[in-house]
Amino acid sequence: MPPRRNASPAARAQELLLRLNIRTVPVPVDRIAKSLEAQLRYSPLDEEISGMVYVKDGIPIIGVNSLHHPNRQRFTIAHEIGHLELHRDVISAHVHVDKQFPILMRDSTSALGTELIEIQANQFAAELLIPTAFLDQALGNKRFDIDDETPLDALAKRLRVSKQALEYRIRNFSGA
Amino acid sequence: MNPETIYPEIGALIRRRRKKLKLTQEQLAGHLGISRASVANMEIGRQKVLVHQLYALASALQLTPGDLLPSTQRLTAPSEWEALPLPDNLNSQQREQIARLLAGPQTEADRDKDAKNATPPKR
Repeated sequence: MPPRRNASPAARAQELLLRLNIRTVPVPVDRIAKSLEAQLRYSPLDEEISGMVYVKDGIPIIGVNSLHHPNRQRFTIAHEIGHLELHRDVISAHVHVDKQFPILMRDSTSALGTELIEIQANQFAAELLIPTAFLDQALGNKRFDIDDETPLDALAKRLRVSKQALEYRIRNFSGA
Repeated sequence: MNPETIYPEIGALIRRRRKKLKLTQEQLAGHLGISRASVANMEIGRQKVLVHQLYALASALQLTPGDLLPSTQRLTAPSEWEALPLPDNLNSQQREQIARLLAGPQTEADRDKDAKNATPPKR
């Protein structure tokens, strides 16, 4: 099934996981990058820079700030894969540098231009690292108390994501 | 010259040479009489290399001290960097970092070592 161009970022992430037959967590973002023939490069960068992506001579290069926490590096890679999958034209024309990802996920309707592609990449990354299928299973039908820290910590650990990212994902988790 | 780029450059040179000689950070640290963590931090540019250490490093790595000094040309934005379509909202240091990243790869093995050996960044 070819990727649907107009599908939502989350749906595109699901399709990618399906296509690469990835069903377990933590989701191997580095392997996914390699499957897309992207080169991953780790380098010490300014604190405010999370990463970058650029298609150079047809080869995507994803750069990650090696000084950041490994979980944050995973989010950065997932975010850049999002740009690669969703915004290849933009990142072929210019080196795309991501400074701190503002919490840009909810108001996708009110966003414009550059903000929009960051929101989309964040939505893609959230789904890629914390797939709905996994969340469905982990949370089941039981009511999940977001203020109860313990299960959240354990879940974040299994997913190798920050607790903050997980909390955000669960708040926006519709169960669909 | 930008001190923020010199030390990571020197560190990268040290690491590359150390690996070529199949030395561990531990072994190199032993030659210098410093801790392995110090070597790890030097290799990512977080710890500044002192001049006498540069001599000791060069000797341990079978180089001359000059070999460990990056050339000024690479540190002052070469023309190929100028040609990179970089975004406007970066300062010169950030431009150099991005350009360096695009110019040369660092492998995951290096990254894992960085993460494992480096002391936690100061907050």
